[in-house]
Amino acid sequence: MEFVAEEGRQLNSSSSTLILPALSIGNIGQLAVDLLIASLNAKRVGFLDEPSVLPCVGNDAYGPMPEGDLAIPLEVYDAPSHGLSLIQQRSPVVKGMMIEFAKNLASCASDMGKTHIIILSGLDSGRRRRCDLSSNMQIHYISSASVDGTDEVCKHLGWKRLPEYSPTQKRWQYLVSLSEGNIVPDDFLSFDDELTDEDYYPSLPFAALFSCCKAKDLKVTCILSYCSEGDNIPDSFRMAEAACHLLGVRMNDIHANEPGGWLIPLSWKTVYGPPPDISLF
Amino acid sequence: MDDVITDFLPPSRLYFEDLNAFSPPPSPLPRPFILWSNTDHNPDLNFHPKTLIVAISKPSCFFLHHVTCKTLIGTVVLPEISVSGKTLDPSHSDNSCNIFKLDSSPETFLLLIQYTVCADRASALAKLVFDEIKPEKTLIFGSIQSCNYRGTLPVDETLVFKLETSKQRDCKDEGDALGFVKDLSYFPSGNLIDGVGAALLAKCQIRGRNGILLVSWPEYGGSIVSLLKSFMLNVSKELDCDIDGETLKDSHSDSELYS
Repeated sequence: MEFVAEEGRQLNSSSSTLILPALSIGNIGQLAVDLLIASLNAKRVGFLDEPSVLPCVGNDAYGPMPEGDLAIPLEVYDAPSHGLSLIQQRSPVVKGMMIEFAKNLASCASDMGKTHIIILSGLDSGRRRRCDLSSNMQIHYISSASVDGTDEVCKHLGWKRLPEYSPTQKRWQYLVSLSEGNIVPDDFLSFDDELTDEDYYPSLPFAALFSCCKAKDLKVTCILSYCSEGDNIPDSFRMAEAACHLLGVRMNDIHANEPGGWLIPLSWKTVYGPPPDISLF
Repeated sequence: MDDVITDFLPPSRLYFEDLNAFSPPPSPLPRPFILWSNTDHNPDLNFHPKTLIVAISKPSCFFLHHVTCKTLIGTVVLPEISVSGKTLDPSHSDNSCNIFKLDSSPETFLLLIQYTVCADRASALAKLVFDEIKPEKTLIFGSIQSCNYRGTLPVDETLVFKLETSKQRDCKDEGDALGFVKDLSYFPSGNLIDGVGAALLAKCQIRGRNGILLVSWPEYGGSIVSLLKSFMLNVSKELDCDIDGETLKDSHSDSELYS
């Protein structure tokens, strides 16, 4: 993976925090990053050239006006007034290449001088063991701040450490070994066995990114939110707000054009497809 | 009406098997490579085209195949693509990816991608094109993919939109052969193009090159072929092609269904 600066732009060395999405159900990490880039008025400073991400292109992800601003799969944005960089990922990773991708991204983040990585990801609410009234509203997290994943700052925000994070569990350990580049015996893990609930979380992209960034001695915080596939815009707002709370970004710092204090990206206008055919009526 | 319960997820959504970090990696495939017809055209000898025109959509491959004033100079080999049924002389129904030089304009190369490139091989092919051919400017003809388009696609209207790199967008060269795209509308925000056309354009963007992807609708048909002809005449005024009324009619039925 190579970072290529856009002509005339460069990465701000004072932006030590990096926010990036992990692919997940509901795409809420990616939607939240879209919202943050638009609302924090972050500027694109370059691209990541990575062969394990499938290609895609589009125009004018953020606007405000359609100007033919090309968007590609992996782009790097800077919001120097907030000491923050963001990576947006717009397309999936080639099947079977997630660990490789996570390692490459962690290396790149380290080379770019980032010290705190914040990973945004959804979790399948169908996998929840317990449901309560707060249900999908509760933010969960895991952090590299301690061995068991707890972090006092996140706790203070009212977030819950993900109960299913179990660093001694076999698949989490396997992830750690892979991300550290250790040789793992072939029979360490059998992938023929049916996936249990315990195996689900370490097999998600956020877990690979978490493990690989930790292996690079980067501070990592995963912000996690349960959701279902469907209209995930409210989920993305909740996740973006959570990221702002963690970073101390105040809502009145945001360039809003919508009630609630956010700038809706231009590309979201057609997220539900075209309007109904009025000839039906 | 779509059945929201049983229908497959739209392309922007992900199944768990796509996300599973423990999925085994794909079997490694040999790298794609270019076979050049003779050393005169070998870019290792420092000959690179000013303009590379890439045909991906069926109408564009059909049209450029019928351009008469061109010379075959090479072919791009993707080792996983079978050559069974391929003829020595280029054919518009071949599973091939041939490179031609335009006789009326030798600094213009044509690349006709007539085989289907898997999504996970698109980047490798794009890298090969820019590492070896190294064009200054790239013009790609593709199609709008209805599964990735969130607007309404009319059944009886021809559409064409453009996507271009930042360098091309900022280009103020009045004599630019690709300047005719200035009057075309931008591909609307919120929609995507994927595949080899996207890989090529993204590569141009990353490398700071001039690149344009024109995507048209419908996917097949004589109206698109006629439109492409008008675009190509902007690139080379002396372009000649042997498309007549009968061949144009054949382009309607030239689909994989019948091959």
